Amino acid sequence: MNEITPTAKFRMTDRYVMAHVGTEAVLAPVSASTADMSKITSVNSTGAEILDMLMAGHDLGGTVARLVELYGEENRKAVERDAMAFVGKMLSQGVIETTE
Amino acid sequence: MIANCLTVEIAGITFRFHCQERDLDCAQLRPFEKRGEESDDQVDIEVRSEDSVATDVDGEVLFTARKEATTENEEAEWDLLRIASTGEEMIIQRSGATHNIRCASIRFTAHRATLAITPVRDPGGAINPLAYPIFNIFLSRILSYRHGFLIHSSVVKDTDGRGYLFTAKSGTGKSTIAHLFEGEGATIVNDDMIAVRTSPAHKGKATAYSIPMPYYTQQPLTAELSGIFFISQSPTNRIERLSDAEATARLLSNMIHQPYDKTATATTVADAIRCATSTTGYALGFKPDGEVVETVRMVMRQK
Repeated sequence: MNEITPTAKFRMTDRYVMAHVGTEAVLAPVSASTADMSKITSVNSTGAEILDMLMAGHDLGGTVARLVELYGEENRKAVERDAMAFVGKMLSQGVIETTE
Repeated sequence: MIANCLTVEIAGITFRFHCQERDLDCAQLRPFEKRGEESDDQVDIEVRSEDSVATDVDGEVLFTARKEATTENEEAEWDLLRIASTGEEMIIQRSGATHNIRCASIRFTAHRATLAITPVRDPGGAINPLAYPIFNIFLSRILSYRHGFLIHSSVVKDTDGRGYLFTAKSGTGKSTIAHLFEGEGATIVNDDMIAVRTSPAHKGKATAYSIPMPYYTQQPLTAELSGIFFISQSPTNRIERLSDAEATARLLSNMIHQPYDKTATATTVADAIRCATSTTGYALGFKPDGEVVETVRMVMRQK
């Protein structure tokens, strides 16, 4: 069940390697063929921060709360929308998965 | 150009080719010949001519790749395997005859290899050890053990000594832009395939090397890279600086690599990061005229 709920927790799948480049990150697929090379992608500093917090064991609600602290309460809706969209993309791409 | 033993240096690595049964056709390797002192970092390659290449090897397939047909070659498919009993890796070209090779395989460790070639015809003559495409795959593996990689790209060494790497899919203009720079006094290191090293011996700098090419004679040339340009065709010349992460991702997309497990992938990603962070990456949209040369030079002067 890869549901995006405030209490959902996530981990990296075995299908990707994440490497930090400064404050940003690169996501490279672990693959047995050249067909997946187009899935190599970079994420900006906010994306890298979201992934770091999720991998540290924070749930999605806690991660969003931390981002709201950083970007201000007035930006809560935008932060929630962008974080959900980012996590949804990472899930659909197979970079992360929900924990049991 | 005939010998049964030849020592060359490719991308700072010494390769010693030798063949007992036949002479080697060394025309494309000869410019890279190395004479004199022994090397601490040598790969010994035994070349064999065989009637057929064994394909029933007891190994785990790590990676499978396919290369589309060209005017010179059939569509090619090859596997990278690991031989559990010996710890060796092996590349087997299962299909894809070139003008002189029906099939080939290479079995290797970091310092030793056995290259088996089945020629298209068997005149009993000399054989070219640059079996295309598996020699390049082998070279990419050997480089990956040593903080290096192969990348589809052109590289020029500009008149002030700065090296610029241009990479994109085939047909985008890697060769065109290299020749535009050549017209303005720069030296082309190669306009198709480049080895890049980022090892500690290179003092944190990314160094580009030409490699022997299978169909023409290439001279050994190098350039320390200052800029990496991810090119696209455009009605106007436009240039945009990329973050190191974006440059790393784009480098990985154009490299020849075999990311078959987490360790192999992490090693390759680390090499790409070292290259991206020791240079500056740009997205370059260009139209094929000389103005792009001045556009690039102006940006690099302002760096």
